[in-house]
Amino acid sequence: MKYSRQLVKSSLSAHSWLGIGMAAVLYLIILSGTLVVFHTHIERWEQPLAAEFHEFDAADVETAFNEYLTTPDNLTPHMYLVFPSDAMPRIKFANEQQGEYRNADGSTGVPAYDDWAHQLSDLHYYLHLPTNIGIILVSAMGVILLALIISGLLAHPSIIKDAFAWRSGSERIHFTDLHNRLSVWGLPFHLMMAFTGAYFGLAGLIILIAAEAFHDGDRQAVTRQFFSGDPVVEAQPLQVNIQQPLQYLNANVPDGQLLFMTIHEADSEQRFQEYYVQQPGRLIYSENYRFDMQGNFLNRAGYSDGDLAKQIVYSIYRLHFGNFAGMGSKLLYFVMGLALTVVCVSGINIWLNRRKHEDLLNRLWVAVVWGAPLAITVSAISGVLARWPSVIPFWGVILAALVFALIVQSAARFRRQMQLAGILAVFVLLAGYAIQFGLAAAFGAGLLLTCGLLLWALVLGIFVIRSSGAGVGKTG
Amino acid sequence: MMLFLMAAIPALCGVGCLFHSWKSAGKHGRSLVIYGWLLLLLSLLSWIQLAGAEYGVVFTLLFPAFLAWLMIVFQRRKGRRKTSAPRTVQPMPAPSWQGIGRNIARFLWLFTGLGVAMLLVSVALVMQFPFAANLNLASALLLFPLLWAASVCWFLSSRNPWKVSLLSTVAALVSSLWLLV
Repeated sequence: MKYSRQLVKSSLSAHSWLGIGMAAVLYLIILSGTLVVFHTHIERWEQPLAAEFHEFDAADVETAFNEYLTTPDNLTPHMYLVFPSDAMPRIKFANEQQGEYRNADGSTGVPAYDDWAHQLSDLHYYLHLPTNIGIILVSAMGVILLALIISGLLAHPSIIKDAFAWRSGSERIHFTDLHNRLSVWGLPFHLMMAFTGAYFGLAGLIILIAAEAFHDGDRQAVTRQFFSGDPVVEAQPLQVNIQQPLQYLNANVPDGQLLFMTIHEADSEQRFQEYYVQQPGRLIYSENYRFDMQGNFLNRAGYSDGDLAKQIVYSIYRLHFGNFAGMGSKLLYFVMGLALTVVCVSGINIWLNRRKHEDLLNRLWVAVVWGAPLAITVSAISGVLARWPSVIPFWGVILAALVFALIVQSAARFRRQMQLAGILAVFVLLAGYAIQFGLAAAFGAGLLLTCGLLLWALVLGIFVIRSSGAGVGKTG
Repeated sequence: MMLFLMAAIPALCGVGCLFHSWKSAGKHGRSLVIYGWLLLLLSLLSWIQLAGAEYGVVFTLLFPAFLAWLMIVFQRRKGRRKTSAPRTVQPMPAPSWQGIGRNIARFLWLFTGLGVAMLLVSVALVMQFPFAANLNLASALLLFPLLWAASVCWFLSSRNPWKVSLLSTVAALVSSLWLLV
């Protein structure tokens, strides 16, 4: 590929400017997104005492859900009944504020704690900012990622010549090759994340302009072109029949994976129930079947065979989060997400290495890179073990790490201290978890997370041992 | 398992061919590249057979990265990584308020100015597409981020960013006149 020297130079300068300016925010979004791939597993780990099963008695669950529904304190405009699935083999009743797990016979189980899981996904979706601002900012980061990809490709004239190269040499060469090889081969994934990530916040802006231009400002008119409108129903009772819809779904969608049911407008007489059923082999989030409260079939949303635009838009969520082909796609996305995290970190490390000296910026970058996983672990100690809010501890740890960066003198030593703190936090979390829930829980419903945390402590230990040689590691 | 192997083996061989063409850089290089891409195409068919068209395309796009990374790790030239000489720790130079102000202004322009401009241009452009109205709008989901990112790159790499800003503003004005008047 022949690029002009000027193009390479100016693209590299654009790439550096964007990367340096946005690295910390991008890193938090990518790291949290990588973990959010296992959102349902995190929820299960957070409350390992809930009963897990696949079979349940529909009549018992119906009776129990009606009791839950008709308890005045529980009623909110949307009420949810989560059915057992492969990823979440539990029954959960929830309103817009809180939920509780149920046993297979519908009897009351344990409270559904998921504060920490939501803290992680809210970090990825909104950076813990107010939702309408946060989602646009995070989606704009999708655009920045895309701009980094474009400028990175234009700044890389030897993309084919270096396709498999990973040279030994200085730390800077090491990071440069690592950054470039992970970026180039991960390009399809990075593009997918940039475009699908940009969708969540930017779609609203497109709808806003299209509504002003073509529908006299009626945003619902634009949204209806993609998402099916609510069915019209006569005055409906609050008691719900779920047996009849389940029979209908068993007969008509035998291969589908039933996820959950929502009662819409539950606090009005226009209430109706909607069942979300995942379709095998399809990226659409679900096909939705609507029933009135007596269980009579009303209509189907038509996401599985509606027009192409509807199918594309409804496929973006699963394409972004990788929860479409069981554990295989989750692991694939997790590793690709980790690689993107390394790309982000190594990019800044290249820039820091290029400088002739070390200063506060090196230590601030260490505080972000190693402070974020530590903050996530500490927020788990707060959220999962103490059942305290987990957002404040998260940002508290990040802030403390940044303050320490001002005090300490050496980036390498500071990095080792952060890694050791990370190991300590993991062991405190796991020990507390085993005491609170028992070892059986830690290696039962929480197996994946427990093993993941042990592996993370091991990785941190290897980093600490490897970096104990003098002169190594002035960067993140 | 059999279907998985039928998808994974051509992908492995495909990336292997690309790797050997890169490694040899000799007379067989070009034919190895062609075989490599053909094998990756074959793996697409197997993935589709295994997981359906939608999942199959995603797996075909993502899976070769793992194989390539494995080959990169295994062929890595063994040699001791040179540890950089310890660098002097310096205090941060005093910030240049003018420089900080200029960078903030740039960020604001990239995020808001170019963002709004490319939003208007994208919606105006996709409405010229010959598809159904909702498919046109769905195309904006691709076009808007692409145009925004491209304009950010153009602005940052241009010797004359004012020209880029002016052109974007004019394009946005024309688009908004067409859309909203």
